[in-house]
Amino acid sequence: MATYAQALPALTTSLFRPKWGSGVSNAVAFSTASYPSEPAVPAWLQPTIKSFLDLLQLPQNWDGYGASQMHEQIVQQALLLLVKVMDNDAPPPSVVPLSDGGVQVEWHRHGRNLEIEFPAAGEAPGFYYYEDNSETECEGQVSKSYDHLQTYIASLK
Amino acid sequence: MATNYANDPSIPHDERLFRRIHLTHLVESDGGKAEVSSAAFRKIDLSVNLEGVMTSAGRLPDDALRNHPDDLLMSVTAGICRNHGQQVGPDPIPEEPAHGYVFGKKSRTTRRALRDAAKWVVPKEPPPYDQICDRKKQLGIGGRDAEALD
Repeated sequence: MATYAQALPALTTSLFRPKWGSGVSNAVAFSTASYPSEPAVPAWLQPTIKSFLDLLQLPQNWDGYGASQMHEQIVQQALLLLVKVMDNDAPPPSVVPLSDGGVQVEWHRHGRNLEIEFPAAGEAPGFYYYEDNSETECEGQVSKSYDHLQTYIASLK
Repeated sequence: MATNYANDPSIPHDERLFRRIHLTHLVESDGGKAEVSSAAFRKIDLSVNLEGVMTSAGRLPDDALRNHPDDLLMSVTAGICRNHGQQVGPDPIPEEPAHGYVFGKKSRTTRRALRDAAKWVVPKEPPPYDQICDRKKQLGIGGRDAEALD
């Protein structure tokens, strides 16, 4: 298997700067203040990367319906977003390949559902949040909705 | 593949359309259950098997999996698809005479609606997610538990 760095060059420790707006990450920032060379790695990161790496191995036509291989740059885009919007103790998402070579990450917990879609075919990444047995639903473009996504993901813990 | 995706009114509303589900499209839901991702119903030209054509040929639904033994099988009715603005029609191809399409742009709401309306065919009930996870691991296509990375 490719090494961490080889497979996902976008992942560097600079991605894990403290998030000053988050209680959890503030705690991390405080604790790492004495040990600045060791930023905390979020618990969700390793299983999520494992999922991405597994799915990057899928061949062309992996679904028997002509699906494309997952694009590595889309995976990097997805990971960069997750690092921005997820607290260290957030639950890891399920990672699902899209037939166009894109990827979707999603959570279904406590009757709350969040899907974040990264299409390969030129569309902007989008999200869709909804609740079971409720009319509550919201969708939009990821780039305009970081605050919403942070709130939704925090509600899934 | 079809180039003219017209709706075929001779396909009755209650006809079942079978869609194979790849294991990577099964995700964990509350209570350790497996749930199919809306990504399974995302394609504009969504391939399906038409039950009527299969039945006429003496084929059972699970024959849709004959070349894809690791996949699962779900069904939606033609009527549900049409209610969400989709065109349903036949598109026989050499390797699958019962091949058909559910054609149309699928908004996130439509994908969710098709996913929610889909019924399990093989297996008959949603499998426990642990089973799916184990099978994914065996096939090297994902799994919940992280393993050591190099």
